[in-house]
Amino acid sequence: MRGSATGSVLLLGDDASIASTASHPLASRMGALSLERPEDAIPVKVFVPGPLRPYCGGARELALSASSVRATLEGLERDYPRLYTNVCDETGAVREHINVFVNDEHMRDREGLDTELEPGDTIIILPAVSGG
Amino acid sequence: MAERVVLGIGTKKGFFVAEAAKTRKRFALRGPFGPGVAVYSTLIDARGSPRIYASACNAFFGMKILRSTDLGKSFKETKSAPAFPKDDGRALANIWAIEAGEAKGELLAGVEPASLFRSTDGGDSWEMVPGISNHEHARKWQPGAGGMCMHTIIRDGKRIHVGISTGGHYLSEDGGKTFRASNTGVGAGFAPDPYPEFGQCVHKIARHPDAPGRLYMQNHGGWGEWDGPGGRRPDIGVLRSDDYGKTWRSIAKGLPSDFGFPIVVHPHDPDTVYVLPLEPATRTCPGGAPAVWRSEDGGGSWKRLAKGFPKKESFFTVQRDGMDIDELSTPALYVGTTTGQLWLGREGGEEWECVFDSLPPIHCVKVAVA
Repeated sequence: MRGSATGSVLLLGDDASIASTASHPLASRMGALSLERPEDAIPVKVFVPGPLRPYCGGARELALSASSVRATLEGLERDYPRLYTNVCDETGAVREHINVFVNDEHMRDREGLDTELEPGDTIIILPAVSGG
Repeated sequence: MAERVVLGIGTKKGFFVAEAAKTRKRFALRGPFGPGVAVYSTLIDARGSPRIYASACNAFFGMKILRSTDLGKSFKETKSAPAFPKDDGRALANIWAIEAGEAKGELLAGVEPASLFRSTDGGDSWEMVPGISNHEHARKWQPGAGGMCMHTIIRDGKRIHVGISTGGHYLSEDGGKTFRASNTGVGAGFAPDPYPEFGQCVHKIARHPDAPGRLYMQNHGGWGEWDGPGGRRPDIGVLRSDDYGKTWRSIAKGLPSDFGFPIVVHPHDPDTVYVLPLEPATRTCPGGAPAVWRSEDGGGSWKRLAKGFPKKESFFTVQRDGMDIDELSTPALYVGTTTGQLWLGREGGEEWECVFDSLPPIHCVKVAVA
């Protein structure tokens, strides 16, 4: 199954290494977190920019199991709905002034939301440099 | 604690709160809150424990609503902002109006693309009002220069008026379940039909609560020299209705321009109404000399109020929510400009002074005595 996310989300604080969901202090309020993953779900990390950290308990990085960028965002929508609405609008589109990278490549230069992920990939969410 | 005059000032770069004693001698400024983020609408809800709301149009992260429960000393985001249902296909671009609903804690929000949302818990959760948001005309409305926005919400019991640019004036008489276009006499200069059923570029609507059937409208004027199909359309910019918005007639004669954005009614006299005419081509003060114009006979005649304003070389714009009036016995007007000035018009606008000279460009100004 491609394009799916499991409930496996780990939080990484500013100076934390990856913690297990069982031991993380926020695990209990993240609801039922399953460590079971479909075979194609891959452990990836999501980098959260500073302005959005209040929407995910202050975490700089989130650890997630997902097989694509789309599935990663679906995982955010499920586990961090307020973080998700900062990244995507009601139609599911990534907001105009938000850039999503897979490691150092913009997702638009890959397969967009359908970009498949490899183990250890980092999804980087960055506000575009724009405005006036 | 003695009552204070409280101003909510929405700017291109955040939200400010100004506060003064009822003498209005000196205003203390706080902010910016939501720094760097454009604020197009605010509400000072003085019912019960006062609350101040401000919309924050974050170009990066979407819309937020800020709420203060300490008269603007601090703000926090509400738990959510209006959002279209996932399968709707529309995405929220801005919030142009926040108004108090009937019940305590009830709020109404007019948004872009033009739709209406309701909250019953002080802004923590929102539901779209389908009677107008999914109106059969909704997909035919078009954006004006500022966007396709619902900018005016006027509530009067079961009656709700909304103003849409460009969509026109819509009226509900069943508490918002259904709406109908109500634009008889409201002209449009940018369509072959000068008086269409809907699609007018209404800029703002105002009324006095003691005269709910009387409405004043600042419409998109400036079509007096039009020479295209349908002919000239003079004086369609400033209008009045005496039947709850069912029909409208021009009250623009005597003004230097029928183009403008805000329109404000005196808090103690339904016959006294204020506009701020602008040149239609540039949307700036006619001749570089700003003035508010006041009618004390319901639009029958107009008087220029300019004492204290620059006499020349002043070319600012005042946006649709950039003017308000307080409710003190001798009320003062407040005008926020796109050049970042906040002007105070004492004695109902007879004498003007600049209170703040260098704020960011101002989108909206609301005042309350709380």
